[in-house]
Amino acid sequence: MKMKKHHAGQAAERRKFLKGVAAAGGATALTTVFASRLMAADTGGTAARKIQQPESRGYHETDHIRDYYRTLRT
Amino acid sequence: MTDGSQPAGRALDPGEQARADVYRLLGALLSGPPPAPLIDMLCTITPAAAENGAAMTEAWQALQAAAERADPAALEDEYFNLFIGLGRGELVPYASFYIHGFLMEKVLASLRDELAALGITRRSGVAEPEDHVAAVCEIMGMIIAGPGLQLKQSVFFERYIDSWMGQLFEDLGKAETAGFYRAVALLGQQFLAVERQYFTLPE
Repeated sequence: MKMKKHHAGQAAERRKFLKGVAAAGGATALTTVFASRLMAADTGGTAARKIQQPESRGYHETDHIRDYYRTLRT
Repeated sequence: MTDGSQPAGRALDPGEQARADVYRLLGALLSGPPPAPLIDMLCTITPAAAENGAAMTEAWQALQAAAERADPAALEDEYFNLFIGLGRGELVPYASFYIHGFLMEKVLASLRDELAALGITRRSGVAEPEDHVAAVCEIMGMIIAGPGLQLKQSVFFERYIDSWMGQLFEDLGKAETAGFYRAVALLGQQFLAVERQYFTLPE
């Protein structure tokens, strides 16, 4: 509980610190209209696939395979 | 491809959103001559007042004033003279150049590795290397606001922003051919100062 309060206090301090950074009056609209002319998230590309797909562990016995072998013994 | 913006389901803290917005704005202003609608929007900004935001407030006011004076045709010439030029512009806005003294250097290779791991790439048809100042600003905006981008912001800031961009903004502020872009330089300098301080706050 005390830890949670501590984190909440730090988060509030960070929010207060950042209060002067923003420019109100169209700043958000401005960035959504003009965001990212050069870079993009590579959602369909190789980099994204590399992140999403786990490394192959090669052949290994799963429960399904063990069940199959069991049927062969009988 | 997407622009790496936040999915509808996840709300970003307003302070973090403001940081991402400033990086994206710097990216938009430094990736090419600002289009008329962007200049129009800059004319309407009202800087938020805050105890520790005085320097940023001043920078926003300077940018607003510069936008009000800006002439679109002159801005194109200014951007060309500053960053492109005949042969080269007055400034060379790449991390490789500022850190190593040459283009396409080690920092670009390292940045490309980070981007591959983050799943961020150049838009198709973009020829600028990823260490161009505008690209780096866009990337940091995406890291702050984007879903699932795990690289620690402070590490990215230290390696690819704070290591050189402050010097670029200082040079931009003093550049002979700069007019409007002096205000961009001021915003960049003040914002980097805020960022340096921000990363020292306890998480």
